[in-house]
Amino acid sequence: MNDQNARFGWKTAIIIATAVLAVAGIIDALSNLPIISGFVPA
Amino acid sequence: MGYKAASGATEDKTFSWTGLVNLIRPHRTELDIAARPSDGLIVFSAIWGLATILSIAERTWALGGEVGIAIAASQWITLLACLALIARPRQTWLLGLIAAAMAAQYVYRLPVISNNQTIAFFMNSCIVTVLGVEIVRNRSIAIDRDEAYERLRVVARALLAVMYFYGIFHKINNDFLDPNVSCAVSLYDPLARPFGLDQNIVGRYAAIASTFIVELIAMVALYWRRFFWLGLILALMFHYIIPLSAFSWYMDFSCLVFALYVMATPREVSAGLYSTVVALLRSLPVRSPGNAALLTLVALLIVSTLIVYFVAQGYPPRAQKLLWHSSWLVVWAVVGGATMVLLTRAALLAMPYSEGYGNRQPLWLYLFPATLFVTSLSPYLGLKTESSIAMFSNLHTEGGQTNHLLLNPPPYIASYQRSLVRIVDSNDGYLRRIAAGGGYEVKYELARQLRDKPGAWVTYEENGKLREGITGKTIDYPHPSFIESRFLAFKPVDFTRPKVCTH
Repeated sequence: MNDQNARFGWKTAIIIATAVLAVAGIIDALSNLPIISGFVPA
Repeated sequence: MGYKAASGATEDKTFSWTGLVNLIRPHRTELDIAARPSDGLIVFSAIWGLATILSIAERTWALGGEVGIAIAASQWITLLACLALIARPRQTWLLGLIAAAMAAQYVYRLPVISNNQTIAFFMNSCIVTVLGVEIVRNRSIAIDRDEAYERLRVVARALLAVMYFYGIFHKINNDFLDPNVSCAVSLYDPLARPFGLDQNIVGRYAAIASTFIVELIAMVALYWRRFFWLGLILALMFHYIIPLSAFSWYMDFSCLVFALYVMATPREVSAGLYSTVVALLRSLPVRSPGNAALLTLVALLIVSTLIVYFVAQGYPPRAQKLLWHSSWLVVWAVVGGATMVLLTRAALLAMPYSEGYGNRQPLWLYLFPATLFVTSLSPYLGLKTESSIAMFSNLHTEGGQTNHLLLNPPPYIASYQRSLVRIVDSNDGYLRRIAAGGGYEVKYELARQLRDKPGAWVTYEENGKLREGITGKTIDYPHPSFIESRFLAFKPVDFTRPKVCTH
């Protein structure tokens, strides 16, 4: 099998972007918890 | 039997930075360790189990017997089966048991309002049917998992397509496009608030536009193999973010979509995901990957609860429901995020997708998505407005008028939505809230609710006449037929314009 995907390319960039989104999501969740905002979900 | 060891998978159980870096810089050679195409069914089973747990967690009162002992018993059995399925995801009978229990509960509870429970019902019914056909045909409970996988993935893909179609179509209305009231903005604002961007008009319009763009790309890409990865990744990001707004529970819905995507992806993607997950779980100091998955989930819930408990100390006392929601939100942020990254990685790793979608499957399989498609047209036909994939769409179709831009006036084939009453007062909390907001009810729905609540009375206005103290016995509306009582449910009607976002 080719191993071209191992180099840093656009696929790696997308994976990193989703990882960054996941980290941002955790931070966002922690700073926007219903117990903080007091918002009663719809 | 737990997760099968992936032949050739790394046996190195110790943590290494190289391994972490390789997660980000994948090697296509990893694909070689994929054991079988139906390994996707294993990952699906685990995520389906989690989605069901999240659904049960939203309705904890049902576990306590508030809606009957039968439902409570079924919920507990399903919950335990879900935990077992996460630990032993190869056990097809557990998947069948969960699907049967959830489908039976749905039928018992009809009419059901929840849209995601409706989509889950169609998938659960399909799982039960496909497994049942296998058992009858083979005259054995030994299921051909490969064949079951091939059949279920056709339905999973079609259900996603129907969901995205209506996710777009119902939102083509004046009020969803209004940045002051759009449901897209209701989700955007709490997400953007930590970054100080919640009032940003560009961000609000971007939220509205991106809803259409993402759902359109996701729907088209489901059937455009070359760009499947693009739709998948956008959809994963979209559905990962939605619950984080905390505007509603949403987590079971997003998890359900993730599970359906695991089935709908090309085989090599779901098999690659399976291999990676097994390799990661094997790096944990637990004997079986299945047990590792279950223990990780339980540990995560405990840690999340502790975090939420300590954070809560700095704020005014909140309802128990908010503490519960917050704890699961943290779990979702971690588990959903990890699933998003790993599925994205597997999708990119497997490119270009070499194989076709497989053999032609029986046409009866399409009855499940086709039924969902037809019933979701109901709001425009004057039938039910609940459970039509019109959640958070700002859609209004009642009283012979609609805010929809394409089907105006709505082509009613039934008159239920024409007969409306304005709620003035009631001794029932739900109806009193509608009255406080100057809201209306479809008269059929009001009669149904009053007959379900023998002690309730309501004062309402109909055609300019005030009717006071009306109960289920005195309301002048015919008793519904069996079919009507099982399938029709209507949202409260809001004539204020612009129409604010509601469920």
